Amino acid sequence: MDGQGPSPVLESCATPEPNALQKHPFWRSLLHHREIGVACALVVVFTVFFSMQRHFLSAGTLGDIVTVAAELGVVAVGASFLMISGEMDLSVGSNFAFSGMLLAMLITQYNWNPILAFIAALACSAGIGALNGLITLSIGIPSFITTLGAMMFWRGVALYLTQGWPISIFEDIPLLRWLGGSKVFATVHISAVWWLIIGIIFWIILQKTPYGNWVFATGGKRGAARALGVPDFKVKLINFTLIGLLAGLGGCFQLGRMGSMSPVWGQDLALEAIAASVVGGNALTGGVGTILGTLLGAITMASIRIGLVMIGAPAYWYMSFVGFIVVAAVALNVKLGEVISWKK
Amino acid sequence: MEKMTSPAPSHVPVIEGIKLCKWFGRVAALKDVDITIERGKVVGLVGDNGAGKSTLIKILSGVHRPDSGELWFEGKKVELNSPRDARKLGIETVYQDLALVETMSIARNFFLGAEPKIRFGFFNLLDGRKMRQATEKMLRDIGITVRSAHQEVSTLSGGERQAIAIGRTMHFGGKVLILDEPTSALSVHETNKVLSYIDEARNRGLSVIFITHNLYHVYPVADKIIVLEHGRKVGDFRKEETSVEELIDIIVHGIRGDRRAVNNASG
Amino acid sequence: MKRFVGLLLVLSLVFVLGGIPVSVAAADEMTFYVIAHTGPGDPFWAVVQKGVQDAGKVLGVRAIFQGPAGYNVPEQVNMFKAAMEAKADGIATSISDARAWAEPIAEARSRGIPVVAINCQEPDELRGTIPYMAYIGMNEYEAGKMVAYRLLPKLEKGARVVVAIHQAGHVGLEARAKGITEVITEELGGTVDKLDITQDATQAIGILRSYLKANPDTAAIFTLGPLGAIPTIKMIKDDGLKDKILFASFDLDSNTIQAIKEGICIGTVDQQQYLQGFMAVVELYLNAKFKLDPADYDTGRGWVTQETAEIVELLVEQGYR
Repeated sequence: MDGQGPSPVLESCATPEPNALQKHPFWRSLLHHREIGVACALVVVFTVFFSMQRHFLSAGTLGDIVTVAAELGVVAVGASFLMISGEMDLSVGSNFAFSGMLLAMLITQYNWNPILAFIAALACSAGIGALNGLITLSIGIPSFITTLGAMMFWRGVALYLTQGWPISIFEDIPLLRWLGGSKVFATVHISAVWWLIIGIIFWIILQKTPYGNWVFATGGKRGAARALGVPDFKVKLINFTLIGLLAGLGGCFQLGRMGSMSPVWGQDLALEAIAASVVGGNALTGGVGTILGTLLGAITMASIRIGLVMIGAPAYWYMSFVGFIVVAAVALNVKLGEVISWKK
Repeated sequence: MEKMTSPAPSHVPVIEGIKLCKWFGRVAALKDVDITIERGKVVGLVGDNGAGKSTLIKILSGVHRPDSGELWFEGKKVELNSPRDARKLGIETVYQDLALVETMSIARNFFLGAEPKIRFGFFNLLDGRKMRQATEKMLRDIGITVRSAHQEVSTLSGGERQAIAIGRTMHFGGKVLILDEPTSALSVHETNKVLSYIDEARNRGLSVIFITHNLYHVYPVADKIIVLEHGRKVGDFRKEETSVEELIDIIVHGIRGDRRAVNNASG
Repeated sequence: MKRFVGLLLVLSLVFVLGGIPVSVAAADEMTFYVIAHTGPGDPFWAVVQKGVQDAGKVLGVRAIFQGPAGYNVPEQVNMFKAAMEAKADGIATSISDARAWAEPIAEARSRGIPVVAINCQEPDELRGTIPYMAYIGMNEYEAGKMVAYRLLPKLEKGARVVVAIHQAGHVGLEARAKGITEVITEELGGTVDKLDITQDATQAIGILRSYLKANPDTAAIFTLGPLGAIPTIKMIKDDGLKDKILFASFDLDSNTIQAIKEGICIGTVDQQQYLQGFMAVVELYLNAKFKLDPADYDTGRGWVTQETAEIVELLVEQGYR
């Protein structure tokens, strides 16, 4: 405008370039891993228990924790894998008990060769999983419902098989020693080693193979995956079968460790496996997840159980403490999720 | 790393659909629709809601099978039983909502369904390095700046996502790129960018089919415009033969008798 | 984000501080664990827990009762192992499975931790395979037979009775059921049906009702514990079956006592489970401190009827029986 003095020069705001390449400090980039939430939870749990009971960090205790975590963890790995592809399985506890019972029965009452019996039990448990998958996917019922029914059905079958009685195996059977009976190091049972191996295998499949990419896509957005040619039906069906197989394997591990199996054990397994998965950073709705997180989640759950006994807390506390940890860990994961996807 | 479209005799149309029909129950979604797509041309597919545009492209991309009619690809008769068949031929489709999985990274999305593999004995492993490098190059070519190829797609804007989906097609040597409402949720700036990618695709020899409601978007880039109404083709024009106003008129009011529009197989 | 992490730390701190009174033990205070195969929710075990805690007070030691929320042997074994790792001075456990306890108890003994068994044992044919030092509890099978014998005079030849089990597969309960079944079928030539009524009271009533509807000639109901007795008593009252069907149970709780006083229930077996908790701690303590060998202790097979109900009721209310 005429006659006016020069307008004050406005400094243009430095507009930050969207998504400009900024190097984060190392610790910040650590946060981009989905497992940080459960790692924190684990540290908190360990600190709390150690401060109250100095024997908590002994080799013996840690060995117990890992052994206990293994039976839950094997199933939790399967649960995560299935959850990432967008489905869930509530029948794992019944599958677990049924398969363990079947293995015990075939060995003791029908005198099968233990190895053959083991293969048969696993084939059955995988079959149960596949059946869950077929019903869910072909008819279009939500997996929650299908597996809820399956949970009740197979539990009933397990009870019927022995009229409610447990089966114990008194002979020393090498297979059972290999499955969970023998200890490899102090208090660590061999089942923990198998669990670690299974964890590694599934980690590789999920993160490092094309199939793993399909699993993420099928759970993340089934329609998009299908439109790009991913065989979503096959992927989900395979995952149902895998979790069934792992549930049966878990049951066999427990038979190996205990020497007995009862049709009423494993009742809380489905929910505990799901809890271990979500604590570990897997999303209940699917599409994102981590196997390492699941392993840590299972260890967290096991630590709580063992820790509460060691500090002499009344047994009733277990439920409350687990509930608290689950909600806190998931909340932490949600907050971290925002960092992980580079929004912050 | 884009593959050049392999040369077929240039007079042979890339895609030819002859008398395509599709019924859903008792509703005719498509009735006797002929469509010809030439190499290196952009075709706009317009029409009001329910005209059958979606159904037509789903047939071309292998999602639906036509109840009657034939499909020809580069001079050979084909039957598409799944999206995978279509992708194998080189027909890539970008759906409005179904192009990318938001929870996965850009690199994983880019190679979804066509993952680069390393053979490891009996197993296939992902070639992570190849994925990252190819993705980064594509992002540079398009002009999107990100922190990492491993960022989640949900961090990108709508236009950027469309760009990636289109870039994916060009990378995989597609011969035909089908876009379902690519500009409907975008800003002016982003719309412009997407239209320029379509142009770029045409320059590289791809054919593009572009569904939209917005005639002002499609008209500038299209070589040919096909109008559908209630499952039938009611208009097939070269760009020069018509105008936006006339197209709007046809869509709103139906066919006008004094136009040599119906089933004009010009190209 | 920072606020959130801060909140999390505060909450953890609360838990830690809340936990301190639980665990702060004088360095030389002795700690004993009594681990059952279930715990929370079963009124039977609440009495055992009282016995455990009272013994702790009397002896001036830390006595801790533990048990999984539902019947779960692997859980129980895990707790046993945790107690071992906590360097307990003595552990008592119920032998809830014929096979699973051999190794853990052997391990504990090899570390010099005294172990006694309470409440239930392995089946007779396997006696001696599990290295606990003494058994403090009742013989389930014999008790089952005893109850059946008590009711025998009131039953006719060939009568039908039902045994309602609230924890199918539980070794001890199944043994009680076995005792009843054998006596009824052998002495009376009667029919015995075993019914799984679950631990949930509402479901139990439903299941029982359906059974009685299908078998209106049922002469007697046997339940194997308060979790079975409570729904049965309610059903008998609601359906007016008081003098039409005989009813006997195991173990004491105020509901069952009241039912005995009212004549709904003929009698119940008193396991005197307070002793199982109290004496377990005492015997472990004596062994840990003075190396005195523990001895088997039969906690009795009291039979409570209308005559003795009043006195016993008082003690039940106080949590001693």
